[in-house]
Amino acid sequence: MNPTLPTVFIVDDEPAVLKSLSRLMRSARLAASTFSSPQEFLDRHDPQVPGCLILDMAMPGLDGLQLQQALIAKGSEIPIIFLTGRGDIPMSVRAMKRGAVDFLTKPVDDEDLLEAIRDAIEKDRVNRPAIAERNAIRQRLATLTPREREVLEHVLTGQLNKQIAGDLDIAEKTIKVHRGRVMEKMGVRSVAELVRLCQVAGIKPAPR
Amino acid sequence: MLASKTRRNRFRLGTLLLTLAALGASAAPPKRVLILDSFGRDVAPFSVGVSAFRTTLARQLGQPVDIYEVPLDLARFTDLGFEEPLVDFLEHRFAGSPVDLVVPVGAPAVRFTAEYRYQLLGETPIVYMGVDPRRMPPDALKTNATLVTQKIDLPGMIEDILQLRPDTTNIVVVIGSSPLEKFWGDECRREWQVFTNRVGFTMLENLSLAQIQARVGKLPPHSFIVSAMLIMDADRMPFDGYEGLDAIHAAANAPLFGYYRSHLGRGAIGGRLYQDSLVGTEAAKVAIRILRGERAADVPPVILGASPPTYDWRELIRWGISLNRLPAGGVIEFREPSLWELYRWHIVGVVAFCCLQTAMIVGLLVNRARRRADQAMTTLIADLSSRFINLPADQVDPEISSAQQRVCDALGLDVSSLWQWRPDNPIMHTLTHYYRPLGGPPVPQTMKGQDYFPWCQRRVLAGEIVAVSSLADFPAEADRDRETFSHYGLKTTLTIPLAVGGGPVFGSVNFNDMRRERRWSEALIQRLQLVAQIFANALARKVADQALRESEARLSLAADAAEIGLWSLNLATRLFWLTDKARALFKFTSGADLTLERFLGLVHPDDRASVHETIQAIVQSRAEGQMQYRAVWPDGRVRWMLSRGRVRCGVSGEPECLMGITVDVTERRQAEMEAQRNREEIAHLSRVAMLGELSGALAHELNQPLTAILSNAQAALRFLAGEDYDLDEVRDILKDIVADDRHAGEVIRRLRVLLKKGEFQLQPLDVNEVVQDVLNLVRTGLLNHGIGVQTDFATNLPPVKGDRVQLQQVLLNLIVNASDAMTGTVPADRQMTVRTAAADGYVRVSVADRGIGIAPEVLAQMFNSFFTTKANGLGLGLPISRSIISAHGGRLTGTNNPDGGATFEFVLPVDDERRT
Repeated sequence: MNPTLPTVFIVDDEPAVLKSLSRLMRSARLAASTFSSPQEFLDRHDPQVPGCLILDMAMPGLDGLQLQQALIAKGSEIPIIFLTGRGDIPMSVRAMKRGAVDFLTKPVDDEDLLEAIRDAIEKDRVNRPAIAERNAIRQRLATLTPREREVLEHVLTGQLNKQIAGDLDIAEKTIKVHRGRVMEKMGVRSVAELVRLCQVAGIKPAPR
Repeated sequence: MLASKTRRNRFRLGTLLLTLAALGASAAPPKRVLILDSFGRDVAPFSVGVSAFRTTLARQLGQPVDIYEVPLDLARFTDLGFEEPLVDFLEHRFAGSPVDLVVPVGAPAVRFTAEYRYQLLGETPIVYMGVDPRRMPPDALKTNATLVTQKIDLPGMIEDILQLRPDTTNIVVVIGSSPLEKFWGDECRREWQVFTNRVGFTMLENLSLAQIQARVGKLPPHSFIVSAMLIMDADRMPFDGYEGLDAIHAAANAPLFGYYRSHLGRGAIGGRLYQDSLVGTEAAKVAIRILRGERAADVPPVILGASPPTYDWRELIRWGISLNRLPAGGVIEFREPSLWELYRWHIVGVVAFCCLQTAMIVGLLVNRARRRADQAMTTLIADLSSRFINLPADQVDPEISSAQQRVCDALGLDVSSLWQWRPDNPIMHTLTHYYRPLGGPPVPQTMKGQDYFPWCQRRVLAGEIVAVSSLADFPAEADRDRETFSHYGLKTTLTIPLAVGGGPVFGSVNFNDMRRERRWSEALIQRLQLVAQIFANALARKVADQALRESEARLSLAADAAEIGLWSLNLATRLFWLTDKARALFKFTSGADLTLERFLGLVHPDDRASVHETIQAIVQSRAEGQMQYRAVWPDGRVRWMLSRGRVRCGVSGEPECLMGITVDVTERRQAEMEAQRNREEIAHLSRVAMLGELSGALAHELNQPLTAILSNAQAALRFLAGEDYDLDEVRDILKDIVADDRHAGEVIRRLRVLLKKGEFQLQPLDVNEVVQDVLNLVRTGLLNHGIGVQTDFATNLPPVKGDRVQLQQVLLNLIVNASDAMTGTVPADRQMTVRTAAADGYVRVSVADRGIGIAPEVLAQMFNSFFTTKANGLGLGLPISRSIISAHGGRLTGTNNPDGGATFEFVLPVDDERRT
């Protein structure tokens, strides 16, 4: 599989549907990869590969919504197009709220589906660098010790070392050491830079 | 007061006893026993125990016994001031003759005795009798005393009543107004508290007997009366015997429970009873031990249990209580003999009658030749003989009266009377025929023979003829008889017992003179004996005839009431005998005879041949049979008839007649057909309803192939729009489209089959395939509800014979139910398991869920029509499923799983024809 080429991942437990959809992708010159169950997708999917996901709503084991949730939990933000046998509005609302790009009913017209796929791939392409950066920041954040994380959240509030030491009831000197480590681990030189990274990663300042 | 007490102490009975014993008077004086009654001497049921006590004691002690009985009457005279003179009286009464044993009977006497024992009796042994243990004074048994009684089981009474009539809702308790009765009234209320959730209790207390009678005559249905005790009513009217019970029984419109064994036979229905007589007998046995020297204190108290359940047959019949309701070991008393048992001797007598009369006439002709002097009498008897032959039953009585007159006139007798009684109850005599031209003191219509002529009665009942020429000839023991005869001015008597064929004596005919005495010659007696025999035979025949008529009338009445026509076809004459009801059923109103041919003319032309054949077949088989056929009324309306007949053969063994019944079953048949139509309609409706529930799932099921078809077709179009398309690819796509289309068609076909208002079509089926078909249909629907299905199919299942669609309908219903049951289950547990298995000639299919299970109250009713736990349910799924499975010879059951959820399972018999 060419990692640079966007791929349409299709998950459906009905073999006939799976086969016909992958044919449709091929006819539209899109790369397609098929999975006969959500679990199989979770096991085999490589998040590095760009593209989008066409997901059947009703399947044995995990259903479409549950797979979406599992992907979010894993940090995957692959755009999802849901296919469903019946237009169930509450279900579609839930799916869209969680970031699904589209919600189409079966049988689906090729134009509608391909347009949704194009949108989704575009979204993935735009999102991907930001996601990559966010993932990198999160990886760095993950290396902090709990104390360092605590100090970081206080730094984000704009407090001085002396105030932080008072809040956390530790020596000012120790705060200084933690602060140095945080800057080092996060790979930043200035507090301004640190604040930006944390904003990207969604880290909130400590409550006051 | 003080003075009297001193005096009392000085004359203590006990002291006197010792003094007299020391004197060592004459040898072996009779034993003296003092019975102290709580009430009057003859107050039933207490008198029953006392009487049994007296008899047993006198019979079994083996030495003379002198029994004193003092009725204390404490129950009525309740103020304590009454007791002191009573103590005085007893002291004086027994001052000169000390007693060896004292037996107080009933709670009031027991309390009195225990209280005054030291004053009155000292160490004299006491047997307390017939007092419930809870009424025993605490220290009563401490001094040389013992107890014989039966514990009163109050809850047992209600249990017995509910045993007989489980639908009893109202128990009416009649209880008198004496203090003792009031005590028991309160006990009843307390101990019956536990039953109040099942039955209501109405206590008829503080009422006069008349008020009680009025109340028990107007009880609502499902009532039962308990006559616990009625010694004294609210008017302070005491009842000695059974007047209270009898009056209640006479007025009651509900069955009557009486607790005492002696109540049985007086209108009480029965149950586990207080054995009043047995208590007396047992007390006598204890008394004998004491009188023979044992210390009363060393004889352990005897507390009897209730009698085995014992019932009065007549009351059971009267209140329509099935004998099946009686508990195991139940004893039935007072069973009335059947008509045949009652009248066997009469009937045999009638048969013997003709032979006897022939012999008699021959004998009389011989007589005539021999004794010309008796010519007149002989002629008379011959005439009577012939008159009574074939005499209709309703003329027997006037003919007897006239015969009495003729006999008296011929012989110069002044009186002839004929008395009758029931052979099983020869006490009450009824005067049925009386000839007394000279008049005299009025004679009661009924009298007790033993009260007026005990001596004669004994002989007559033994079958002897009593001939007394002069009242002076009565022996000494016949004083009473002589008195009676003298009172009525009779100077002689000849009494001849009435009986037939060696049966029991049921009456007597008497001839008397008022003006002179008469020597009853042997010849005269013989002649009058013949007259008596003629009377006896005629009376017996009348009774038999009446019994037969009554039983016929009763049958005919019952048949009419049940709209049943009775008929009999004489096979020789081919003529029908019919009841009016039978004529009405066929609207055959003309008075003409109904011949077999005419009857066939009333039958619908299409059924005529088969009716004729059936009649012939039944006659040939000499057994019984039935048929349903149509009759056509004169107005052209067609009615369905059900006739059932049985062949009766003559003495030769050849069929003589075909007799039977006919019922119009038109309405029943219409109702049956209507019900059948309704069942089909409802089955269809429920299928539609079920499919409504499944419609979403079915749409999805169709969506799958449609999606594949559309995507495939659009992919193909796109390929073809390109420049270098691959024809093989397009061919594959088209093949897939065809396959997907077929799949969609299959879904629609299954749907249509299910929706069809189908008829039952049995064919050999592979159960696994049937189940799989249904699962295919509902799989997606279940997935939408987040429900997983696990299958566990047995391989090599033998085929069953069944209707595919109906079985699918059952499975569909069970699966939908299982799915509904799991709406509240956590998603991970929403699993159902469908299993098939072979088991011993059956194939078993089960659907197990992990839902809420079946509530106990639902378990009992879930197969009832229109019972549902679902908001929009029709309550028809399970009943229809069950009837479908039953129609297949199988069984559908539902149970809760031990680890939660429920399993519905059905078995179907293996198709034996296809089994290899």
